[in-house]
Amino acid sequence: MKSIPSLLIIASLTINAALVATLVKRPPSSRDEVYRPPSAAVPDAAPTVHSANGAATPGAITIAATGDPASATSKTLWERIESRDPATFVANLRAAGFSLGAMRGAAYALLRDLQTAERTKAVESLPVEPYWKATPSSLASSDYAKEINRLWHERDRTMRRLFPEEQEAFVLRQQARFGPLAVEKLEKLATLDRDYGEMRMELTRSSSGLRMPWSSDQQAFLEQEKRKDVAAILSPQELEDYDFRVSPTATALQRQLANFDPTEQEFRDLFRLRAPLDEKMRAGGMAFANTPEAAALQQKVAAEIKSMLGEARYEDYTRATDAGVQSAASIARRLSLPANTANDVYQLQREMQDREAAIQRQQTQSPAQRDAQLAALAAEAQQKLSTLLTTRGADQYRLETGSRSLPILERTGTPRR
Amino acid sequence: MKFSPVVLTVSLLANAALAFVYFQQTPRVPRGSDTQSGPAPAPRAAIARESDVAAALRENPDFVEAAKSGDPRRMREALVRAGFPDPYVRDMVTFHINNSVTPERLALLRLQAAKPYWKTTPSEETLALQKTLRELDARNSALAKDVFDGKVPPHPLEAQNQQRRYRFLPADKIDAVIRIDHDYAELAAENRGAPTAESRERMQLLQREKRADLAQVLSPQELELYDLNVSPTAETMRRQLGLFQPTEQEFRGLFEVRREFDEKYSGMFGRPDPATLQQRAADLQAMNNQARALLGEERYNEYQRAQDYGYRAATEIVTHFNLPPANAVETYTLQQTILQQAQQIQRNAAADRTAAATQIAALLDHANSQLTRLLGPDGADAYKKTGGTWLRTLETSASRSGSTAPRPALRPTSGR
Repeated sequence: MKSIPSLLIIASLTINAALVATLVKRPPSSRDEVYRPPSAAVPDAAPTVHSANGAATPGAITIAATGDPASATSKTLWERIESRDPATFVANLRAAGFSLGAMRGAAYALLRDLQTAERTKAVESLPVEPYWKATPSSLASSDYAKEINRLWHERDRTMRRLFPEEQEAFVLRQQARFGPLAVEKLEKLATLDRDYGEMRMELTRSSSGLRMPWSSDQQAFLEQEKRKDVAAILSPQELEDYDFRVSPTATALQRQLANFDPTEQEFRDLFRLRAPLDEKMRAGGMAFANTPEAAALQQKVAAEIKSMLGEARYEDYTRATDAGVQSAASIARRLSLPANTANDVYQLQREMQDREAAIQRQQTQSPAQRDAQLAALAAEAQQKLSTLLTTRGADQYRLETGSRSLPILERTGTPRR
Repeated sequence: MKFSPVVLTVSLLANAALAFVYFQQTPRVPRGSDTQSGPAPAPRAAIARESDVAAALRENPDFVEAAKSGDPRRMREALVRAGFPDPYVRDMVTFHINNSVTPERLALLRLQAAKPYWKTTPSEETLALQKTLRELDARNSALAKDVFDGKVPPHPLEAQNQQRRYRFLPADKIDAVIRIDHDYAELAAENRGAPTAESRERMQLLQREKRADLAQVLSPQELELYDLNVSPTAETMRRQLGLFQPTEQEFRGLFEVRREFDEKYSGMFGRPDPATLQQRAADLQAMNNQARALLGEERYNEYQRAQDYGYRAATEIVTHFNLPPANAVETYTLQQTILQQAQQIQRNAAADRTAAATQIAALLDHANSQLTRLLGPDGADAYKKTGGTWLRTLETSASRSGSTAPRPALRPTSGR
């Protein structure tokens, strides 16, 4: 057995050898403050970066970490402030007194820069076809879409880590969508949304743009799977709320009932009556929508809604869900018109429909006389609509509704979808 | 080994010296997760870096003043003078002007987040805030343009996509073409809204002016390549002619035939008057005749078939159920034959409507049995739900043939 001093010498010499080897092998660049994204976005070989004057030049941006005054004076201000580490870069800009917006812009530009190699690789992976070759949507590679999505989310996550305001905006947007849930649950739901969104896109791509029955089955399967995943995240009460907020029926109701102002109970009852119908219509597609069975089902649900709401509220509901009223309401909001504009448009629709029917019923007049009266009525309708919605709004209304809600306008021969 | 105190002492001293050098030079190595949030740098390097940045800012009071001023034009000028790369200047200034996380915008998000799901009507407060922000957006958009002397530079990612889009052009001309595209896209955006006769005229004028600008930058051959690659006609053709698989020569020929028609009728809105409809039908017929002359009878039939929705659906079905591709072609032929026969029956229906209804019902039975033979029961069912709109028209026609109600027009389908 060797003596302890001998072992000490051996150990000491071994440590020396290891330290010398490590120091010799260490590359000079490792002393530089170079940010490398998790998936090696910045390649060692000639990435695209910007020189001080903004022109793209080959070579990695490196910042001397020594603070050597001699080298500092030879650098531009950009070179002394910039850093490939987003947090450091933002801190430097904060020290200069830049606004939050400017710092966000700088961080965003940096993150985009750092992803250049990955993005370029994704873009270059896209097939290049000559112009005479068809480019079916399936060629817009799903791998490309996934990668671009991933890069976007990576930037988004980093921005949220850098700026508390970004994180707050993210949480509020998710709460507006999913309800007042814990941040952790919101993050999970947002991720699920993204993942299933990608899978839906993939299905759409692989169907060559045609809605074949098996694509609908696959979409339905995806929805079922997503719901299972959502159910695993939320409590039963939260899941019920989720359906009232996010399900297709809920989003349709929120859009259609903008002028109805339902109570909580009314909303829940309408949801209960409408959800099975919506489900059937979605599953059946256009082929089912045009069948007598679908029409009968719609009538049955309408009768149930009428019975549930009572006469007066059903009248409100009918008005609120009228396509013309919805279009008028949205135009009025966009153009900052008075709040009762949509109701006035509804009254105009009713009045014009009654008057048009009355003219059509007249037996004593010749067709030419009737046409002249209808033309005058159309001009009056157009003028009144423009007064209510402005000329621009009236054109938009006609474009959105195709004059279905005010058919007399067909006779004026201006915009229509 | 013989023990030597001297060797041990020297080695230990070397240990200490090397360890000192090692730890002095150990860099801050970003960890995977740190890279997202900004890793803590090694203290000495960070202090040196901070002091360098502080010194740099002290030496450039004008820069600091411009940064703190909040004036976007001063900020832009200061950033450019300081050597910030163009994309950074663009993003810093545009984000400063259009900051999406201002207190007002966060306030709107808070209102939206607090809204119960059954409150479908936006509150007065929400509407007022939305109006304020819309007005602010409009002002900011004008301000951004002003700061960049009339034109905000395109987003760098968009620029990258454009480089790829125009890869068929000489490298030194791509930027100029991108600029022209960008300028006219902006002008077209200003023209957006409900389409009117005036807006269509403006769009046509813009298209003519854009083409004149492109012709100044590109040679005639390059302009031709531009058209074949990125014009709306070329893009529509690539989308529609997947199953036709044209050769380069066929594509070029068809492009010439179709472009004139597309240019004449693009951007039409509203219900065309009968004269326009008649003219359009005549032009379409003339265009198809030209295509037939160009392609020859067999390829022309394939060209028409490739654009037929029913044939495309049948092709999907045979692929899905692993059936012979010829069955899709046969399904298309069946569709054309049945529709021709139905048309004939309709023409003769005036003489005996009841007999016509019986004949169309028999035709339908034949069509259904043939579809099941060609596509299988599930395939035939899928076909009826997608490409088989002609079958539904036939069913309606059969049900009405016995009555005096107007009958839907039946005619063999064609792509365009």
